[in-house]
Amino acid sequence: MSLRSLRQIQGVFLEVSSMPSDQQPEAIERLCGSDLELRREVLSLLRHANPPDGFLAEPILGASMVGAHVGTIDDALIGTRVGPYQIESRLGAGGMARVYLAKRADGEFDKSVAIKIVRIGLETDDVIRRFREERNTLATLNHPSIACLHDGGVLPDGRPYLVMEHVHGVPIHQYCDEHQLDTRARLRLFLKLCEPVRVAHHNLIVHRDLKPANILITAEGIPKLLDFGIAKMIGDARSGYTTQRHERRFTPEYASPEQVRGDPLSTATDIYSLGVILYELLTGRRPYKFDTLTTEEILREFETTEPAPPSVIVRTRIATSAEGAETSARQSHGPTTHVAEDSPERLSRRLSGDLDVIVLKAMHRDPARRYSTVEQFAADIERHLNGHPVLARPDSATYRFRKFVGRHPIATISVTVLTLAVFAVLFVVQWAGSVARDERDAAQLARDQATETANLLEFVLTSANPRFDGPDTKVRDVLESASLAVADMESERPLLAASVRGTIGRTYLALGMLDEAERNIHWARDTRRQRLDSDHPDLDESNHAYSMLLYSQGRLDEAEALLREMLDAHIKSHGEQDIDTSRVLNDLGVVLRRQGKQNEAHECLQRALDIRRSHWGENSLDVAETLNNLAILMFQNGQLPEAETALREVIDIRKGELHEDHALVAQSMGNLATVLQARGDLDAAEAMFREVIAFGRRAYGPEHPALATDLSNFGRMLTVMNRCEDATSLFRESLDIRRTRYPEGHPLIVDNTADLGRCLARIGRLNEAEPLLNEALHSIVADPSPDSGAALASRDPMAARLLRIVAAELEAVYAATNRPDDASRMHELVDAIVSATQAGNNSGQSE
Amino acid sequence: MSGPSDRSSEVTRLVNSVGQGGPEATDALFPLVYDELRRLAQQQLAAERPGHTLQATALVHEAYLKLVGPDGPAWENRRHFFLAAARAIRRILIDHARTRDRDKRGGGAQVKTLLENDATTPGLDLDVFALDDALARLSEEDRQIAEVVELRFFAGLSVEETALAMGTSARTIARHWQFARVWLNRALSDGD
Repeated sequence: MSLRSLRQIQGVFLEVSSMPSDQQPEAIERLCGSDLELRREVLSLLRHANPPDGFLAEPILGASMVGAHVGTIDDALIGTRVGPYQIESRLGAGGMARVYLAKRADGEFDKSVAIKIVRIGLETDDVIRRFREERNTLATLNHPSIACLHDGGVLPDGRPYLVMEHVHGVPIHQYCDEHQLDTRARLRLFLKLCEPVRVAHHNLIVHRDLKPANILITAEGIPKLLDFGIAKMIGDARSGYTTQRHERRFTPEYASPEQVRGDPLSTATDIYSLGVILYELLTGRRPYKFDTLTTEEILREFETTEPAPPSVIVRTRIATSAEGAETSARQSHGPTTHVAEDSPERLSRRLSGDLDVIVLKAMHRDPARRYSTVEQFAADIERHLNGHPVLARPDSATYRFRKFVGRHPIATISVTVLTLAVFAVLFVVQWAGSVARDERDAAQLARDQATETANLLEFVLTSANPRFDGPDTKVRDVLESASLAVADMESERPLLAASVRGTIGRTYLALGMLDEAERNIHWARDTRRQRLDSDHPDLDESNHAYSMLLYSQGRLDEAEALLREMLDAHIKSHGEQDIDTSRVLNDLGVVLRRQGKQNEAHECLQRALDIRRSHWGENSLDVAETLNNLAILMFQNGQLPEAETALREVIDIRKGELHEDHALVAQSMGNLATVLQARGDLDAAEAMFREVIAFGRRAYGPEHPALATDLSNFGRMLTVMNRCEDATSLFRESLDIRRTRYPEGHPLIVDNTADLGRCLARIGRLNEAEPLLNEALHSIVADPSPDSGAALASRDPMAARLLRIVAAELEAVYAATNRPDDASRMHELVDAIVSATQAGNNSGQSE
Repeated sequence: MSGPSDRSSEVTRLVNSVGQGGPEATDALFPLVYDELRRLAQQQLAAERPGHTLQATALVHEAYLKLVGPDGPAWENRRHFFLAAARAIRRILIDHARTRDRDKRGGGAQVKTLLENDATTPGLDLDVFALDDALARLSEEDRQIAEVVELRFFAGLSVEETALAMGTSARTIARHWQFARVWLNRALSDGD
């Protein structure tokens, strides 16, 4: 065609066509010059520069294009006989079967039936098996609201068929619209629908494909449940009422999240679908629209969006109709359904409250939070209809927030959210101050109102949000501005100020900023002690925070004393089995463990675990917390398989309740790595450590104490594996972090210093090792004489053990650097500790 | 179950190995992709009421997931898959037009129907054979620009996806696409 290259033409054309038309001739002149052919091409293209709308829009494929001649082959059956039945017409088509309308050919009965026949070419073993299952299912179920089975057989060509009741009816939502049912009537009809589903569940059958098209309402107003084609017999009742994994055949809009995921299904999946159907009946809309989405996109939708409550969705409908000024409210409802309430506003009021909560509970994305049976679902609707309080409760703000945090990658939570949370607390506190009669009332009110917000704040700042952790300037800014805001009220409203400063203090504590934590927690506790009764819950909260502070500062004896005091008080006022008591027991267990009092620690933790399990069930974060602590203890006691089992349970619980990438998941994985190492599975341990550390760097930033823990644990493993070179850099990094975070002499710094010193000594870097080992030695005991070593052994065996290790290492270093006096000094120290420890053990045994 | 998964791994292997290979790489993939597209389309249409239609784009992406999986190779290596898919769609359209042609008039004349009219899709008459010819000519003049049309129109890739698949910038693709639309519009218009 053209002698010009297409690119040359393209270049000129695009440039010219981007100009206003009055400038184009001049541009063509300039760009084409005397090249007439180029000029001709460009001009010709310009004439076609505006293709019609939709030109080269996406191609659409129809059935005839791909050879899917729907029905043509199967419809050959029409007019033929199947058993004693004459097929008259086709009623419908499913994925694997066609349904025909038929009459008895022998005229024995005049009643028409529906015959379901496997589609030609689809008579595989699998489909035939499913057909048989459906037949068994229907034979089991005998209920007036379930389309019944008359007969079954096999066609001459080998395809099986089922003869079923032919239901004359219309889909449920259509029925409601045609009969202009109001909300109350819709609920009554829905209750009737619950009945056959309940019966199916009692027979251990899950329908798995409940949707309006499968629910026909007869002229008499009786619901008929159709198509048990993918229904499933729940296996053994003991297997937890779940069905096996299944192939994915369902209708996405009505399918539960677990069904879309392909998880094992229980009756909860039908309850979800019923919830969606009720939602649609009440509002005329479906909660989700999945028309063109892939499975992955649908799952993302489930994860990221909450369905609007029914009362809200009908209000948005009002808004829509207000916009389209000419259309009446009724028309704007669209072709789906509309509820025959007087007005959308009234409908919205009718739905808000009970019905919102009932519907959203039934279709909760978490199966465990739905109604556990259809009866309960129906009973709540009954209660609502009778004007009784319903049992369903909306998700609490805390729950929703945890889910939010769990769903969103930690990095997405912005400082804005943090700031808002802080000021929400302050606002509530000030509001309480303004409405209450006196300050104590105000403090109580503030506590009631602000507790949840404060919990959220703490939750955000501590675990959910490691990216901003550490002495990150942004968090500092937020906390400091909160501190400034609270300073104003310290003298006038000390108790309110105490509740805010308590929260700020706990947040600093969780961030490992101990000085700031101490200042705030101290102030709050002192203030409350001066003004409140000794058993006041606010004071208890301060005491708890203070005990954790003491623990973090390594002041273990003080922490133990305080916790024991709190435990006595708790048991006296709340009893042994109280959930608050379990918290004190848990914390005391941790402190005791740290002190090396393993048996007492075990007892406390086990008691805490029992209380929490009986109170919250197996899968709560509180149970995971205590189990994690217990696992560490088991690990220290050498019960490695038990520790591993416990930690795997912890990880499962936390992954289920939180996000995969949550800091607490990483924490328990770090622990598991240490246990795997001890069990000798070094490859698995190393892989897990690397994963956890990579997570920590990504999520916490480079200066977080939790990262230091993982680094130093991994370093210890490498030390044991004789990879001291690698371990050295890990220990250095963790020590750097800890020195910025903890006061001098903190147990973690001592441990870390000792580890690094030993590692350096082993690879021959004695000059670097010696000062570190000496620092560790003098941190443990100010005067490292044999006497003080012996005294330590009887007082604090764990510390004495570390002292012995450090002293032995130093002895070797001195020996290697020709300092025999120093070496023998260390030798004596080691001897003294060993003797005293043995003596202690013996006396312990003889008691 | 061994069937689909085997096929999937074969396609993944092909998609990976063809890398920056020539047209023969696309040819190797064509039969597999073509079969899968038809199978998927038949399956989906058969499950629906008569008259239902499918978007070619959605179909191609689904075929990709089926045959290669969500964690397929990097976009640069997907070019041949999507070219093969584009050609499969093109072939389906041509075959259909040809059959219809034959059914209606015993062959010969052109039929202007690319899109089956559907209540929700405004139909647009487009001469499939003319488009096919024009695209062939465009390809002779500039293969890259023609490939952009194939990937955008038949396989339904976005400008960004096309850019990734072809290893060039989105701006270049947008320029090619703009120009190709005008060029093809001219080619398909009467006269000129």
